[in-house]
Amino acid sequence: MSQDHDQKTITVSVRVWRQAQGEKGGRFVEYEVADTPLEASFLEMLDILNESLVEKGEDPIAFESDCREGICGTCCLVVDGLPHGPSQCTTCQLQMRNFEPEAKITIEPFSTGAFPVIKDLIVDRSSLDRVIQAGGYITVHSGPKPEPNSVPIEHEIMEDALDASACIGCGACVAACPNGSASLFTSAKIHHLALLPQGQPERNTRVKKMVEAMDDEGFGSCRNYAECQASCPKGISIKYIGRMNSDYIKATVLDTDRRGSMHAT
Amino acid sequence: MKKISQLYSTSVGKKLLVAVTGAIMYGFVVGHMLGNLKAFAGPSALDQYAEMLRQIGQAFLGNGTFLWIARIVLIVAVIVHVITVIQLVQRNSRAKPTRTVRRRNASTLAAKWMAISGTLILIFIVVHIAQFTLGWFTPHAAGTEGFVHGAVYSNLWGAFQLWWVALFYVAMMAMVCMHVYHGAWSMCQTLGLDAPDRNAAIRGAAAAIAIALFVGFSAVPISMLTNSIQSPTDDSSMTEAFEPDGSSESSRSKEGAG
Repeated sequence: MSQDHDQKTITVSVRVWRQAQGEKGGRFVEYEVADTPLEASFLEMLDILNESLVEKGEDPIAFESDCREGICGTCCLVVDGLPHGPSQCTTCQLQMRNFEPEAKITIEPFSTGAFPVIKDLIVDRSSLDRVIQAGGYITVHSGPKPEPNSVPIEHEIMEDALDASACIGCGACVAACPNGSASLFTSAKIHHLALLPQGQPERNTRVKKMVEAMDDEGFGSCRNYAECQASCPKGISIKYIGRMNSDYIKATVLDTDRRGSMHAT
Repeated sequence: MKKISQLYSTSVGKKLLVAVTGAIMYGFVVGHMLGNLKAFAGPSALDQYAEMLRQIGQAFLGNGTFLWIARIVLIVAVIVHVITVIQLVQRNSRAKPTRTVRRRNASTLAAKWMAISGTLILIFIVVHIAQFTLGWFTPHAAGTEGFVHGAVYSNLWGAFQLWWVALFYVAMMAMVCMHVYHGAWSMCQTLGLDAPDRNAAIRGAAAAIAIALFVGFSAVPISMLTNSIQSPTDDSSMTEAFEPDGSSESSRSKEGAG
């Protein structure tokens, strides 16, 4: 932050977790990244580092990114011990001007019990996809669709559902949780559907299947630390976890399944 | 039964059991604290209150039956609470981040200390029952009565004249205070009672009850240690200036305590 106005570049040293594909363990390797432009993003700094590694004939650092606009949820780095780094945004939105000159930055993968490391900084987050597959959808009939405005939705409820649907599935909540729980992700995915009329028919089976899938994937349980909420780049509230719990209890204890379980077998 | 086993098979269901058993114990702890305040009404008031607890439902259950039902419910609640938590902890230790991830200081100290405070409370429950219910472990100050079944006030007095017993109880009550502060709020979240518009009120109520429990429970050992309430031997003389040395003399000369 205390950059000299005349200074246009920054030199930092990074400690990066390197882990070869198919291997269990890894180690930290230190690199110096000299004269990175201040307007560069954090991932562009890694691009610059990778270019120099390729030029030297070394293996570039493997990391994930896609849109680099903070909307796709692909980038996932633990920067200085914090998922997505010090600011509450995705890793790609982290800027080099956020760092002090000569800063030593530690970069690690989002690795938890349910997110095994594939290589270097890339983790396997397909466990989140399988939680979605278990019930994060609505079943619609084929053929003519009703006129959308014929289903009125109260504004507040719509906003609430949209807040839940802001989840980009990056997995920062899992990486931030001391228990590696995916409760924030799962509850957001349940409630952007459960709050709306279209999500009602499968509401009970959805919450049961998704909670069971979350457990099957080996995620931990929620202990209400609220660390996930503090790390979520989309600012999703833990209120959805409370709602997931009450919905799950209603679906299991009261067993009020309105249309019966639907299996696509 | 099928529903319970279905609930128990998932982490959310397990947490529900932890919340419900926690709520049972929470109710007991609040009642216990309020009952303890009878000590300030004098030795005989506390002893009569203790005897009254045995007599609840006497008319149709017989003496002490209700007390045993309550005890069994509480013992089962403790066992279910502890076993379920251990299973959740095992799951969590497999799922936790494999690299060191810093916290953003969202979690409270009470939340981080749940395992520590919970373990200490479990040890405390064993010590406390051995000391004041069963009378197996009865440290008491020289010159006070030893343990006598039913002589609640005198038993407390003898123990809390020892500074280390009083300190142990006050320290453990601090653990209870921390545990129930996070526990009560966490219970509301687990049962899905929490909502943004109620969150502040629930947090506030959890904190207020936790502090009330600490103050209420600590009042008896502290006031007995500092001799600021009646000694068990001068029950009728509420207005009389109290002299600790004199009372020790007289309690030694008396057999049993009221």
